Amino acid sequence: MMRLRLPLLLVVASLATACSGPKAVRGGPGTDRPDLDRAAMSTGLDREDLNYLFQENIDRLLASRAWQSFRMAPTRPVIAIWPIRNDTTEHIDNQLNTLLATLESRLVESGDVLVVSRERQREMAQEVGLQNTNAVYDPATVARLSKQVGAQYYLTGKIQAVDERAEGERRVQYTLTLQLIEVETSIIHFQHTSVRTKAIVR
Amino acid sequence: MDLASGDLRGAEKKLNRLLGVESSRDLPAAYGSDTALTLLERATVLQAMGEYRLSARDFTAAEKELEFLDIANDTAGEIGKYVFSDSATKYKTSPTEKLLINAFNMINYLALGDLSGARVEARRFQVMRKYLADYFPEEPHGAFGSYLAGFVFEKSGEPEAALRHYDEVLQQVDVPELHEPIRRLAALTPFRTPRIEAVLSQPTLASHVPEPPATDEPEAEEGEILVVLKTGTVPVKQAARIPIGAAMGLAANYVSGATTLLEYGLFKVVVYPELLPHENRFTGGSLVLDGRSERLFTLTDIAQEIVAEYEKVKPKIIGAALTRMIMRAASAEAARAAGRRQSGALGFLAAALVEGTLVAMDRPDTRSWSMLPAHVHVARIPVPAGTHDLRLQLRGRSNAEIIRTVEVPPGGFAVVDVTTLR
Repeated sequence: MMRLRLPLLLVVASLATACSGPKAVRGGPGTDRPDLDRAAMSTGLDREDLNYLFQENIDRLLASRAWQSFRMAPTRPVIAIWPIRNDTTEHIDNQLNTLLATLESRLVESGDVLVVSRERQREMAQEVGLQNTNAVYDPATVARLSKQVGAQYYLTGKIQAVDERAEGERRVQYTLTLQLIEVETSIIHFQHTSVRTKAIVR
Repeated sequence: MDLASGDLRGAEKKLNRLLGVESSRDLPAAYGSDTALTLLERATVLQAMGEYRLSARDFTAAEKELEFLDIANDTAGEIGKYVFSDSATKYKTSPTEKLLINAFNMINYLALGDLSGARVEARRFQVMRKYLADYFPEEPHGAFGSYLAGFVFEKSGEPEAALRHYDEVLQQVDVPELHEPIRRLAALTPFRTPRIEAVLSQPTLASHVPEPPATDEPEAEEGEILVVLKTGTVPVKQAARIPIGAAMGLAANYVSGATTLLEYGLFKVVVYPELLPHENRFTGGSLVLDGRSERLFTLTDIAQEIVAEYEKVKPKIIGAALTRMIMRAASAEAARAAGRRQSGALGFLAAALVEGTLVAMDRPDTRSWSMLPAHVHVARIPVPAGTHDLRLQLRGRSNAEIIRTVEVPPGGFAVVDVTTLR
């Protein structure tokens, strides 16, 4: 009887192991799965992609001629940061807001400019009934509001995507464009575009 | 799931049980063969309940899974489908359903006042529509999605994109309520098609003098209310039986294998999924805003689109069922031959056992997005910014009235979304 039961138990045990459900894991730097963040899970933009797109733009901005002139200026210019317009096929507005906070921190830490609190800008947009409307991306409105909060320059941008499907594949080409614009003149003092492509292939 | 009593909470609970989650706040931990479909059902119920944020999340999660399915090989599922049953594979959406996912999700974001989120869904709709148009150019789809995408881009200050989508609507149905927005948008972009030219050539009423499009500028005091009424549910699939001879007549071109083997089989009928109309309680409605009657336009007959789409693929489905019958008969004949080596009776029993077992395993795929609304009715009403009283009378086998107070911001819009699911 035992001879029969032991293999049966082994089969049941192995089946149970094979059928065990999904489990939560920890990954990234400092864990035993440091590469967990690297795998692409979809054609959407994950933290890796957004960090890359932003990092390249911020590095270029801080190395730009316009930024050099800010460093040399007798008084530090005031800069407002406005939302980045999401023109992609992915719901990434929350991630973009997180990265704008990172951008704000980098600019403040640089000590080269004075940065208008985004919280204050949000309040102002709310006061004039523009929060959650499309007007926060309208250049004329943004320039007007920037002037009201005392900024000489404002940073804005947009993230766009070319999304294509073909038999058995989908490819999305993302571009993030960042612009530094002078409030009074609307002159663009800095502009850079970084690119990243995601795809589902077989 | 019977929603005749309108018990949306009960339906939500049942769907959560099917998904293996405690509440609608949770997404399933793993995706089985029906999970994406169950999520679509829950998203529809949540939208009917006005839980737009949760509904949007469910539609997005289901769409991502379905996209992977479209692209993946699904090898194991395909093998199971051929030998045993259609229902062994993961559920795949039809072209009509694919486009409606983004259309319904646009409503979620519009109802939340999230124009940015609605634009994402509008663009996703655009990509899918283009993809389907490339592969099925003779089948225009998605008037409802095009209508909403046009609205989203119009409100986003993108006149050309808006006009393109309104032109897609005109390709399928003439919506007189769109003529005025088309005139306003045409003043801002050179984009033209023969359909748009035809609208522009029609005389305008004195009160319909073209004005600049509504924007989010604070000085624009007039706003707009978009009413979307979704009534009933589409026909659902149920197992139906058809004699083999009749099935061969319908689907001979899609059958593979030796059809003569069917003569030896014990079963002389083919079981396949057939669409059966749903007895809907509500089929339309009328609208009164601030005491004045407004027209509700029936934009899309989704039920009819689903039936037309299914009728096209039905011969293939019956053909696949016949092919599976042939394979079962072949397996039974092999068992009969093996049994006969011992005795004639054993051969018969072995064949009957094999065929009977395989028949029991072969269930026709009756899965479908059963809570998909049957009809979509829309109204667009320009109004002064402020508070408005809206009364929606539902009509059909039953009558009901829905009363809403609608706040329209200056220069903005408000969306009133009603889903009956019965």
